[in-house]
Amino acid sequence: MRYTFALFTLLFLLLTVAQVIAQTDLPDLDAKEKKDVKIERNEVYSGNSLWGYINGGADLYLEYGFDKMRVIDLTIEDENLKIDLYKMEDAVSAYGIFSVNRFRCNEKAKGWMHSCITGYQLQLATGPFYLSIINQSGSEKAMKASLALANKLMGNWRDDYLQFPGMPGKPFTKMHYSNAKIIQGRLGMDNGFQMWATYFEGLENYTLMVIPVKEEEARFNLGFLTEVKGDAVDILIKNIKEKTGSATSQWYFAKADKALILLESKSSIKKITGYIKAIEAASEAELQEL
Amino acid sequence: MRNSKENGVDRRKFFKVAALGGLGISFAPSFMGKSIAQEVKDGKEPAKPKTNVEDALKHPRTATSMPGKYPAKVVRVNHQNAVVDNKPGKKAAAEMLEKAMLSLTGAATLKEAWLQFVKPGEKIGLKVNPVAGKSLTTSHAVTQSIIAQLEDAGIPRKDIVIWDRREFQLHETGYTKENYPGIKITGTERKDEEGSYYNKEGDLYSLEMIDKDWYYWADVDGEYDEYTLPYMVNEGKYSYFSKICTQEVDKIINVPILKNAGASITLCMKNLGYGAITNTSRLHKQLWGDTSAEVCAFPPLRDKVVLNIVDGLKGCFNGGPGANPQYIINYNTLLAGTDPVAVDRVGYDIVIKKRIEKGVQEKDSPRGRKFMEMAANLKLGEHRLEKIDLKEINLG
Repeated sequence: MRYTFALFTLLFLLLTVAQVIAQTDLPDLDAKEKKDVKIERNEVYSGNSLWGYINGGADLYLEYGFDKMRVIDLTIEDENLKIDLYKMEDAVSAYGIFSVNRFRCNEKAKGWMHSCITGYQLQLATGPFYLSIINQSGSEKAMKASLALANKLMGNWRDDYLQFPGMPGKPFTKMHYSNAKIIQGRLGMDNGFQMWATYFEGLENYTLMVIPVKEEEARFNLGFLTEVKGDAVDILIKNIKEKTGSATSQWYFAKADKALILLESKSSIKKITGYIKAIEAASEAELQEL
Repeated sequence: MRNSKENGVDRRKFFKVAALGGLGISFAPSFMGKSIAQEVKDGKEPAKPKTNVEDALKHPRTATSMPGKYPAKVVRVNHQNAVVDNKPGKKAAAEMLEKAMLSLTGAATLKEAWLQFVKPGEKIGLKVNPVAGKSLTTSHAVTQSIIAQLEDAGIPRKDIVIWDRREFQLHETGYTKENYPGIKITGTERKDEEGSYYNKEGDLYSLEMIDKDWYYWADVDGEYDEYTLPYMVNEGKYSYFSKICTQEVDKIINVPILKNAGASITLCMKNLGYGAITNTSRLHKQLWGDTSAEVCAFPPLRDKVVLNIVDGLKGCFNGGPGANPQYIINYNTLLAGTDPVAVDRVGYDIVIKKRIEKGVQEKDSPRGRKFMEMAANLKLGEHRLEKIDLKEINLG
């Protein structure tokens, strides 16, 4: 009986793993579904072959941990659309590439936590996927078609977005976390948070989550750098001390259990006391002035 | 495909549970797996791999060697109506190009201006940049204007070649024989009509296009899988020059787009350095700037590139060298000069100012200008802004 139960458990686990693996295949469009959809290109690139698609632009995606991608060029009701669906190593990588690619979003796509709509583009990150749909006209019709395609492609991943657990609570809000950027190397830093690039020179293989807060009275950047070991922390702190320049901002840091917390404040300490308390409470570490 | 919850893997819950470990700051487990210890020694940059740039310097310079006929001179022409309905306009592009050529050369006529750089009987290669796809390729408005003015100067269409690394990218972005009748459209990396990169003998078509007498060697190995090789042509430590620039054309007119590359740019030298050789992906990480500068020091580029015309009608300030629409902008400008370093330096300022204005960058970083210093040290041009004679013309 015990063995039967064990076998059943093993089968169940294998089945679950198989389903998860199948689920990570690249979603595709069924061209036969709609007559007014004309697919002009549908190609898959994996690993370093991304070079073939975006040449020098591939570096950034490879730095974040690129697995494979699907490129679809299509025409739908006279609208030319370009779909780039990237499958990254994991949800963190997918969110990371989304976080450095989005810019001045007009709004979010309904139902998609990590999404960004601008005139000519819809972007979203869900699970290990980063999706970009570019249209040529900037019209409402084109965006409507883009949203429909996103739902068609990614519908099964709708509820599968990355959250940031263990982060400080109020006065931090969802809005703050939705502005978070994840940086995993020099190119991500150059593209996503260039103002800190000089401090991270010489550091590799890190993951930094940075939350820029730009409110009327509270202006600061909060960073969580994970798994830093050896003298890397000292080098980073030394870089900050040496390269801050005219000192228009004040730096604080705390060494928490699994992360180095960095806070660059452009406001006076009094204005951000509530935030600092929240950071210290969540991290059980005290911020020190640099 | 099923919803993750149906699979019994509620990722949100998974992350939350993973966070409950008494961690000061908790990230998802995948964060921790990827964030490994840094290997930073003394905060110094690691030594760079060696290259064969010294070989390039052994070749005597010629009358047409960079920085060309007008060292440290750049003309910038702005036109308020350069882009109409989100498309670069042909009329504006032609006018901007004309003004730039006359101002650069001081010639009395446009024909005389062009004939300072090219002459009938020569094969003229236009090195365009289709890398970012349809949304941000070297515009047809600018390319067609160059062709029209070359024709007026007596260069027949049969002697004009539009080229880049990837022939198929040229086709995808509208550089086709239908759109450019009588003009050769060619690339180093190519495939046949069935979409195969390999001939009947199993060799890459691209191998026929490379000139093994000319190479950029760097002590970095390129290793590629079967899917990547057609885009790199060869593995190893050698990057071979394309026969297009070593054998096919006599002169090159470089026509890049005003784009950023991170906190730097991808303009004249990057368009040439990475566009003329094979096996490039190995060079990006440690030798990005070095390659842009050093490859231009080899005679097939140094002595043949007579003119640089930067298409800045549309461009981008972030997301380059790709084309993310939110970063594409109408710069409404065109830069011209024979000195690729000086043109890059002026273009650099335009892009970086826009990045700062748009809030993607706080201040200029010397790191972004490093490749121009390297190129100046190789005597390819002027990198100091204060030494550059910049003429600015406003139209429209």
